[in-house]
Amino acid sequence: MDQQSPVAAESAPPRWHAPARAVGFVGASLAVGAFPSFSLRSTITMIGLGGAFFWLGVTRRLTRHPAVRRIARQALWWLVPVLVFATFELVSFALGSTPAHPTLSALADPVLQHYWARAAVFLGWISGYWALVKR
Amino acid sequence: MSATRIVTLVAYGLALVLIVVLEVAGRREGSRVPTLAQLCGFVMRYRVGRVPLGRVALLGFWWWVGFHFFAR
Repeated sequence: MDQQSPVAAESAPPRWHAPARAVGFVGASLAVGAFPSFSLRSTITMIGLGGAFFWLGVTRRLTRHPAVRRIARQALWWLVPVLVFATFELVSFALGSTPAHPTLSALADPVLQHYWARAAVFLGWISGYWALVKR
Repeated sequence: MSATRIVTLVAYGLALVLIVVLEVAGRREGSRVPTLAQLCGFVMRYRVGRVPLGRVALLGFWWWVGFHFFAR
């Protein structure tokens, strides 16, 4: 039978944290999904929420995952998708983000006008931000 | 639909597929390819003096992404 060490048990967050966080993130996503772009509500939300997460991530108020001290050279493979995306994104941006040369933002805008898509993408964004904060 | 638009869409799709492939490869037993989370963790360790530059850069980038797509 697995038993947590006293140190691990002491540092482990209470069990209700994860479900409470999930409910909070889903609730925030359902609310933000209704905020249109260029609105005061969305601007204040993104500045406030983004700033709070940024502050949590930079300070040491939360326990973090163990540090990754070294990675293998195979990490360079990650440059391939980054370069493919960055090349086309930058070229499209330089050419004015037209229908013939769309940036990701231009492709995403019509999708993000729909409530459920906006809420789902926001849920992905806030979950990703939390994962970064805890790293 | 113009040819350049199709090429651009294919390129974005290819980048997404490559990310999924690398993530799956990174999660395999004994893989030397890091997962995206491990890569982010490594980048976030980068410091210049007392400034956690990697951490500030990644958190700041993600904040900007959210602002760009939801508030601009």
